[in-house]
Amino acid sequence: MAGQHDDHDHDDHSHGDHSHEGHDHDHFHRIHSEEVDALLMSIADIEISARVKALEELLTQKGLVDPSALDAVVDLYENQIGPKNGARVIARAWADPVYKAWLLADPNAAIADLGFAGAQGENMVALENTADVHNVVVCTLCSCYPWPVLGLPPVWYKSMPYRTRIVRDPRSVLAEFGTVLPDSTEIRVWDSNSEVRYLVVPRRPEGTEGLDEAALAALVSRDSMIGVTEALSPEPA
Amino acid sequence: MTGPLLPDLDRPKAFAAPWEAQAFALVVKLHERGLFEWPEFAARLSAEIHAHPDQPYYVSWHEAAVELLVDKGLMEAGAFLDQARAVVRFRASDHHHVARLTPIAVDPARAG
Repeated sequence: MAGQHDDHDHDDHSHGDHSHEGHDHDHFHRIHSEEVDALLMSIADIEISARVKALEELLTQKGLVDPSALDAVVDLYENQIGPKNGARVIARAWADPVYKAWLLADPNAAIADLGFAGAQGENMVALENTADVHNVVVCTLCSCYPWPVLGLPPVWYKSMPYRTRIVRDPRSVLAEFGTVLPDSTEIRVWDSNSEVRYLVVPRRPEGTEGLDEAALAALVSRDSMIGVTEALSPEPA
Repeated sequence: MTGPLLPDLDRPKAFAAPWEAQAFALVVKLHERGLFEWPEFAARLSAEIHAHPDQPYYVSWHEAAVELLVDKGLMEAGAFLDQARAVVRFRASDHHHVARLTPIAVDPARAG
């Protein structure tokens, strides 16, 4: 049982806040506390993500680490953390209409076709942005995030202000990200959770007709796949 | 940061999962707090990797950190096991974030 479930992606830091942990641990579901303790006789029985979480919690209780400082370190290393496999998926979709149709119809298969495994038990849903509809993703309860394709979630994605305000007033929040959409564009906000992870397919920028997939992928930012920004524009030649 | 002294024994270029980044960040912050020198941690990590060559890198990283903290008296192994069990219990008793396949909010297009 232990060690097989490394897909826990809740990068939470709110000790005692019930809104965060563990959708991915159904194998322990409805087991009583005493039974859990009896099963988990030694630390080696416990899966690694729970051990790391426990270490963080214990050291936080002792005042030896500050969870927000951990976030800062993670943020600093985000460039090497986030392989941003998603950018390759989006670039392929822009370049190949057949692939794009496949991605929208069966995202798990289309993403797997590029060699990127999803975490167990979750379904990807791809949302296509158009001139008429702009999609943006949040996890209102915690920080569910498709990290196999997007790397680690940014700190703001996990923040309470984003999680509440993007639902109440998406147009203003997007404007704060520099994404000012015309009034004629409808904005749809989607709630990612442990079973369904949304991936936004941003609109292909103007002036990219001659670019190959690698050059296109460089324009696909993490934020554009969350939906808070558009894809980047190519540098003028 | 601690760049040159990072024990880079086949350290992966990217984190494969969020817990790896958390394990990494924990050790960096504890070192920055002055709780141990990098060479101390590097030696533990090296020993752990050589003792368990097939173990994933960040599992070794985590194990090295736990051993170092226990040996330095900064943490008790029993308290750590209790905390880890608490995490497992918490995850098992978890809420259920209901899947919604429609938008939770729509800001419609405006006439104009």
